[in-house]
Amino acid sequence: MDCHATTPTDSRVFKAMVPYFTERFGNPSSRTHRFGWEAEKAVDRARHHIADLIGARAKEIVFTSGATESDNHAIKGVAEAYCDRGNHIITSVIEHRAVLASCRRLEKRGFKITCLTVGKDGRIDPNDVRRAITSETILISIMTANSEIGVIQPIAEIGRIAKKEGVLFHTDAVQAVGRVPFDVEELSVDLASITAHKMYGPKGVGALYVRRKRPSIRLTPIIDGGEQQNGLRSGTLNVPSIVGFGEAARLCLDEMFAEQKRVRSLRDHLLDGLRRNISDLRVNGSMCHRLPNNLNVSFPGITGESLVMGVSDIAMSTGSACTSGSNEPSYVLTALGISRELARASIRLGLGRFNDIEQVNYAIRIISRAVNRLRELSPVYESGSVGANSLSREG
Amino acid sequence: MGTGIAEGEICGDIVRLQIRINPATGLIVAVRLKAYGCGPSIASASLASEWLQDITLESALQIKGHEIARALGLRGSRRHGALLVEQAIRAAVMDYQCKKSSGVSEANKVTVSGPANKNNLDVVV
Repeated sequence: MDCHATTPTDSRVFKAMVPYFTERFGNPSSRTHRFGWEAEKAVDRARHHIADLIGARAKEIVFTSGATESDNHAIKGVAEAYCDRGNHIITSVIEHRAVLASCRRLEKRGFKITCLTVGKDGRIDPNDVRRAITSETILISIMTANSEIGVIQPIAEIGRIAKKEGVLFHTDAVQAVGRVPFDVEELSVDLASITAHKMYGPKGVGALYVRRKRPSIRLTPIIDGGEQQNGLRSGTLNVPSIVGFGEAARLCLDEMFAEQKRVRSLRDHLLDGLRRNISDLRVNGSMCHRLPNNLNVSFPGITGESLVMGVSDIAMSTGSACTSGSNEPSYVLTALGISRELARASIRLGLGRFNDIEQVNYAIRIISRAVNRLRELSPVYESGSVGANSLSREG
Repeated sequence: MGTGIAEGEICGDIVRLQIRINPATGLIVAVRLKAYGCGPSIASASLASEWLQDITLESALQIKGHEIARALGLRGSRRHGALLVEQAIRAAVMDYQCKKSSGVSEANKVTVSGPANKNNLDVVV
């Protein structure tokens, strides 16, 4: 139930990929024999499926090694190509690290970065975007849906503002594409990062949508070499993975609506069940502008990390990355104005195509039991309030 | 009865141990435990409360954080919980001894936060 981290490769996707490891092993850049042509055709087909999923045209899809590369390429590529026009980029505090770190790198090179804050519901106010635009602004980069809290941003409104002001608009759409409808025309998006492994495709392959018409985006490559993909991204194409990506996109387009409905009802059932069994539970972020599969909740009095450790047979994660030992709470949750203690008390659940009602019922049972047990043990919960300082210190 | 609390100021984890001692035998007869924090802290406290059963205060003071960490397979920064527990044990024993020598039944409980905190830093580095 950690589908925001990754999803399993659908067996139908895997089946489509297999021949491209063995008998159809050609390099699409080989123009002189049928092995090359065959591979090129397969890549082309995949490109069309992916373009169809996001309302783009096939030639606007650039394959990359994943969304991190796509984000880097969009931001650094635009910054370099448009630096004669301005040096200001607008983004938000809850972006993925690939976006934030790219911006920080550019900041060191003299670019000005505006990091917009979000409201309590985790959403960006489009008016803040409008106000932040200056004559120097060249790019706005706002994610479509957040990977921790699943909150969906007002992308169409931001897109309209960007278009009106003549500023390019990039969105990291990794968590949204394949789960909810996403159309680059409707949303007025100029660049969009997507990845296969969040939509039941293989890991290690992603794409960057680059608008080619009204306006045609100039983008400086970040990987130079054999001039593949019109010179935008050199390197031999990863044919089996691209074929898998294409098949995954095709399946998403076919099944998205039914799946969205099913997963949403599972998610709502999960939340209801947890609410029935656990007395004090808080949902982090907006519940109505949210991916249908996401749940991010805090259980006051305990830490998400101890809960995750306590229920080892359910895959879930803490909103907070407790890797450094300093236990820094999630920057996304704290950006919502959530206290450090409550941010530490959070877990993130991401349901997906292969979860069913039995699994959800099992999760409700196991998580509730673990939360209540940890609370019994907790000196913080006993005192009736949340916070490490609530224990009186004497002596 | 002796109560010891250890708090890691950086991570915010809290371990509270209460030990009940049989004055005739000098053995710990009951351990009560409260713990808040990351998984390793809670696991360390839980393991230590088992180790503390039916041993003397001298043996209790011999329980070291690194032993708890080794028993649980904790490495690197994840060992801080085990060190916190060591502090809590020491505080609980000190608290009991204070009460015993002063003859006051309800002495202030002893809180150790400084040293645990310092230990945290040591492990992280």
